Amino acid sequence: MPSGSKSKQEAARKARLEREAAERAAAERKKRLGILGAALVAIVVVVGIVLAAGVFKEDKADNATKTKVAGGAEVKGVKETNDLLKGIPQQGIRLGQASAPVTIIEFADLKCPICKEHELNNQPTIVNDLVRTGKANLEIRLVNVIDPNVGTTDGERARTVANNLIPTNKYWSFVHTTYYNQGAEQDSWATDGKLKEILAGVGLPASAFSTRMTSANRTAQAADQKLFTDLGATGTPSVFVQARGTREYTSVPNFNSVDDIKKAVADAAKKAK
Amino acid sequence: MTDRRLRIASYVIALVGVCAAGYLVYTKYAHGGVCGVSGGCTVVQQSEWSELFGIPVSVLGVVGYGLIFAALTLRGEMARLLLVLFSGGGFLFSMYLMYRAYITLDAFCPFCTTSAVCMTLLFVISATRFVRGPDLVAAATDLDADAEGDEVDERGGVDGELAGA
Repeated sequence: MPSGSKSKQEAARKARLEREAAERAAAERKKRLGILGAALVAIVVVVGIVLAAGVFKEDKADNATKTKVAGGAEVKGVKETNDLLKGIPQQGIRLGQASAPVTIIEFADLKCPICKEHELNNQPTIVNDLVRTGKANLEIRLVNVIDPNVGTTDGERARTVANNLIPTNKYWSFVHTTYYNQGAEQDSWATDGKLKEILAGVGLPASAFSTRMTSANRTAQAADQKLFTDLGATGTPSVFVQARGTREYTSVPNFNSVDDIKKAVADAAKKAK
Repeated sequence: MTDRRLRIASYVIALVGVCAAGYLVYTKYAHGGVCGVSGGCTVVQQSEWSELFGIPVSVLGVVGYGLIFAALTLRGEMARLLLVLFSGGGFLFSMYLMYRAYITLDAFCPFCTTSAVCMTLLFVISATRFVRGPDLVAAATDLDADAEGDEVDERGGVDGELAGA
């Protein structure tokens, strides 16, 4: 066979092999893309089912009872608050017996979503197991940490209204109910109308509503802020326990653990005078 | 970029991701987060979407990265496919959580975002590796280095599992 012909045949064979290799590669790629597509569909279906049927953390405020107040507005958590606080003495910012061996002090912000979680999820157990039983009383001291960060005035306004309720001994009812009706952190929700609705839900007349910074209110705010700073607290909620008759405050870093709070109360009770 | 380099990049990205998710697990259990101190992360971590079936999503993230690490140590087409499935699931779930964080909660959580970015990159790399198939040079190297049983897996794109798929 002439060398020219052989060379042509070799080139043709090479071209055929390359074409076949390219076809195989294309088929392979197509097959892989098909498998990838099927995998993506499977992922979308599985994640979709999980998210649709998934049980995310329950927001107790969403499931709370709604009470209609004057004007037709609905206030959440009135029944739950009344049930929780029923039969427990309220005096100023304190819930529970004054003679209890331990005082649990919580620094909170009515604008703080984590305080809301704590108030709705942990506080009922704390109130029922520690306050109702006389093992401790509970103080909520309001500070304002969120407003300066997000440019709102909700925390400040709600705190002022709450502190003006101290003489009525309905402070606790208002604070607990407000957490059920707390709006989103980025929204301005603590309007006069909303706060008056909460007051109505708590059973107070419209005349109890006041955003005026009275002398007593200023004193209360200053005292709360000073204790907050003196104890080295930097955020809310911050929980401390204090044995009766002492100036010793013990921090409970993991406020989410009711067991930790119970243990801190039991330890502090041994030091009560 | 060779398959080997893409796999190394995946290791590095998964390491960054697991550190971010691990930090979120730590903060979740260490102090539960407080307002006014740690910003958006605690808002996200205390939100309605912070737990799925009672398990913190940060824990689910760590588990997800664990599965990705496990798949990265394996060879073969099935391992590549598992990587696509794990990182794809993580990617979609992360996108949902990012939507909740940024749109619903209007909160910026740098650690959550870092984890979501890592999952996105891992998914892109995993999908790319799967479509490209085994790198021939890398495969040849692996064939030399690996046990005989691994040879079939690594060449699956040609005559292994995938060819039979």
